[in-house]
Amino acid sequence: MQTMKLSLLSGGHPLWRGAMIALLMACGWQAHAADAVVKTDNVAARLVSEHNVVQPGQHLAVMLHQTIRSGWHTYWINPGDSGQPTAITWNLPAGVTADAIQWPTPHPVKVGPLVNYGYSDSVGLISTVNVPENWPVGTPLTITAEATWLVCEHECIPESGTFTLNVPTAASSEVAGAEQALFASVRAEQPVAATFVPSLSGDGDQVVLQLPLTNEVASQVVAAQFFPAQWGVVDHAAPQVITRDTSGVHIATKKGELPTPARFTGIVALTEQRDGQQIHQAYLVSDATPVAPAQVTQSNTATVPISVLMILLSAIAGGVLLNLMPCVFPILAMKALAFVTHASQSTRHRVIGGVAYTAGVLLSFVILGAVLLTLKAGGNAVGWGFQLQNPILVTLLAYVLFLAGLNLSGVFEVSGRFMGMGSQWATRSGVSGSFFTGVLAAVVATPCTAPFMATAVGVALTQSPAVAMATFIALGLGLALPYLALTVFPGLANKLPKPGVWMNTLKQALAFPLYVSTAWLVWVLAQQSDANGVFVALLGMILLALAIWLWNLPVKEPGKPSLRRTLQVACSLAALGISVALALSMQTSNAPAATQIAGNKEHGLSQPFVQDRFDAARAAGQPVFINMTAAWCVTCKVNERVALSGAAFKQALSDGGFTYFKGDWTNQNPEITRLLANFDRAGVPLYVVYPAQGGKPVVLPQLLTESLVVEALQSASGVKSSNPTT
Amino acid sequence: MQVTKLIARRALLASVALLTSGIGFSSLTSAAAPAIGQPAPTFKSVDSNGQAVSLDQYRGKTVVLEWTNHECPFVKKHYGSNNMQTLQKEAASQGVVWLSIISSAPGQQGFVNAADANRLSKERGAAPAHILLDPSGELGRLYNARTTPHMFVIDPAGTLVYMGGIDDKPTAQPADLATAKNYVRSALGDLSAKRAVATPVSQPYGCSVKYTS
Repeated sequence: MQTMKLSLLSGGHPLWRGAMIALLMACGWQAHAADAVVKTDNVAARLVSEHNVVQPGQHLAVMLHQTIRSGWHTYWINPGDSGQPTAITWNLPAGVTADAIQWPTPHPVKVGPLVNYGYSDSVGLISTVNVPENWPVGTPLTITAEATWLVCEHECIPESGTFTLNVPTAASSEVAGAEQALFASVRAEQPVAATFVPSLSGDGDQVVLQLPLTNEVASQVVAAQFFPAQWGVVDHAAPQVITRDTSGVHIATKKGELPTPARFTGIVALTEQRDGQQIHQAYLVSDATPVAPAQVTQSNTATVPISVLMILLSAIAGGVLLNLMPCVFPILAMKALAFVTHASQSTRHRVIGGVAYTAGVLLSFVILGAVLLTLKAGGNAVGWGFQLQNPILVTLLAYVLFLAGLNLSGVFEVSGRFMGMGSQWATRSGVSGSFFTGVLAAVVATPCTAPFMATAVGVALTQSPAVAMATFIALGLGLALPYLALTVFPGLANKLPKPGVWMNTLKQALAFPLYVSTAWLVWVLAQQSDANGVFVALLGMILLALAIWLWNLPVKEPGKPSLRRTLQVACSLAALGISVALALSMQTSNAPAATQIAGNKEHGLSQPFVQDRFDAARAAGQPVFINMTAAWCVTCKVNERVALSGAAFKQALSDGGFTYFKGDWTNQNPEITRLLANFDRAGVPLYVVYPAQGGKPVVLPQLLTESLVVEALQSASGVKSSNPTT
Repeated sequence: MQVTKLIARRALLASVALLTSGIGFSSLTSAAAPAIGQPAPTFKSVDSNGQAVSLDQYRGKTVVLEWTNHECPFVKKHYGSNNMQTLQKEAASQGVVWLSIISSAPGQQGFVNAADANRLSKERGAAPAHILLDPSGELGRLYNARTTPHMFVIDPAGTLVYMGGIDDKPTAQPADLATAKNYVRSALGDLSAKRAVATPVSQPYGCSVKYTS
């Protein structure tokens, strides 16, 4: 029984084509599948459906299959040194869509001194055709594809064909049994989605693809070939050399003609020696995190990155250090002192409090991590510190720190009825109090984490989302650890000094680091917004103070409702509301922060980082120094003051003829985020010295000294300062 | 600590890769592939009229190099539509020196003798300043020319300012010319306006150059 009708209108004279159509129609359109072949001089091509009958809502696999004349080849999406990829233009009924071609793994085709990426003998190009749910059952689906391809041996011939499939529809689909073997064999030639995320980096005239594989898997890899999907990434004809170390397998080859991109996709074909036999497996790789690894069938042992434990351990250590930061320390100190006042509390109560506190911290970090990963998955160029790239968030953080400071200063005491997240830390010892203290600690910690955690989180973000999330949790665990230890080991708490008047004095003193943090955040805001923004933020804080004052005004008969009290509360809440509204109205200034910072007392020493200008300077063979910074990055500011403003630094720059680019990441900037990602970073600071004539870039440490920078500049330029100034 | 580890890893990796690949790359790097912003490799050649041509003699003038093969469908796309000839004439009117280069080896597609080269030019109304015959492929390899067409633009100071495709539509279909952005035309425009060339590198597309293998 014939269930599928096929027709073809191959290339040729329009009259002939017309005649063919007329003939087909006269014959009742009863062409057989085997006839639906476009035969050109060098290729026999046909369009094949995986199903004889389709159903509404189906994702139908449709294949353009080419049988190629012996010795000739057609091309992959990146054809290599010459050639043109096969292209399909779909002509589909309204509501029906076709996805991109699922390219099988190509092979290198040597043509004299050149190398192409393509297919010999035969190739199947499968695309998914999506049938809408509301497709009327019984109406046949007409799929028309116009395909063009270039087929070459030594000479090249452009060829094309038009293919039409008429597939009946029914309530349930029906597989085309005769084509199953073909689809299976073509799918076997397709790469599987890699569960590892390789990184691509340019080093002088080399480009290196690093595959994070376990030692065990890496030692089994005997051959590897990287096929980038974009032209210009690698020199297609250059040999690819593999090396192994503890971080995995590296494929090094000669760089292509374009700068190494931050974003890439491609295929890595690996040959693994396992149990005495060679296994070939190709992986679809990209810089982005892989999608659900469901379809990965074999070799999933190849997917666990080895350095995860290292990342997690350093994240925990970083979290512990956070306790000493000026944003967090006062709050933690007060919390610790609460023990002294509640010395009578039972151990069980303490432990519950500690666990609740830990839960508060972890939940906050999980939310923060989820937001960051979601933004990243959505294609946003974000990195760690993103929470400080938004003036609204900066303003709200300043409010929270200011309020915490006011509380320590004794401006207001929080009793149970005062709502506000976690402000009850000193007076309440309940579970919810501890939980919200944890939340507060995490919230006030965020401005401090940005500069200090950038590297650890940056590495984590290049891993899978699971590893990245684990890193955030580890960071939170580190933050919570000292307090948790205090609750679990009562011996520690007993070592704390006896309560007394000194506690009140200390509490008041601890308010000042919080005011300093507040002032710093307002300064950050000044870089992102303008004078108006600073005024609005300060006004908001005054309104906060007003709200507290109104709330705390003495009442004649406490606890008894009165008109005056109602009015007081209403005004207080209104002041609070206006204050928050002011924060939400905060907008990023139109003038990019880059120009503000770069123009800042620099006397034209540096210029703002612009990818095109950077590429041009590199292309012109100039040595380049890059400084990626942000207003909210304290480390960056210290480095700029200490190491990047002195006479010796300026001398070294001008002696070496350096072009100095300063990238300002205070606000979001995708170009800077991409460059950071090139160096496995998700945050600032980053300092890179690029030697002249396209030499290999050198990354400087995150803490600089002037002599270190000057030395790096001199060794990159090969010029020793003629009159050393230090 | 993480940073130093990363740097150390990079350095180790790079040195290992360099050591192990030294032999593989030495032949390539010694060929000094042409690079944007660098002096264009100089050459001496003979044109289809037997006249000696060297790159140095055009110092002070902009030079366009066009690799060609009259039998290649991609070249036909640009000559059949008069696209290439129009650009050649535009260039000539601006004082730009246009050199068409044929690197097809004897017996390979596109190989022609001097007389045939001149006849083809006349028939197609082409207007290059010279046609350079490079059957040994020496000149082609010097510029790492890979496709026909493959275009290079050299500024009056002798610096390479453009290399790549003739335009941004890498197909053999003449219909695509209508919407294509011609990179050579815009590079010449940038040069005469004393601007930096906006797109200095693009994907060269077409048939492979038919070198002796």
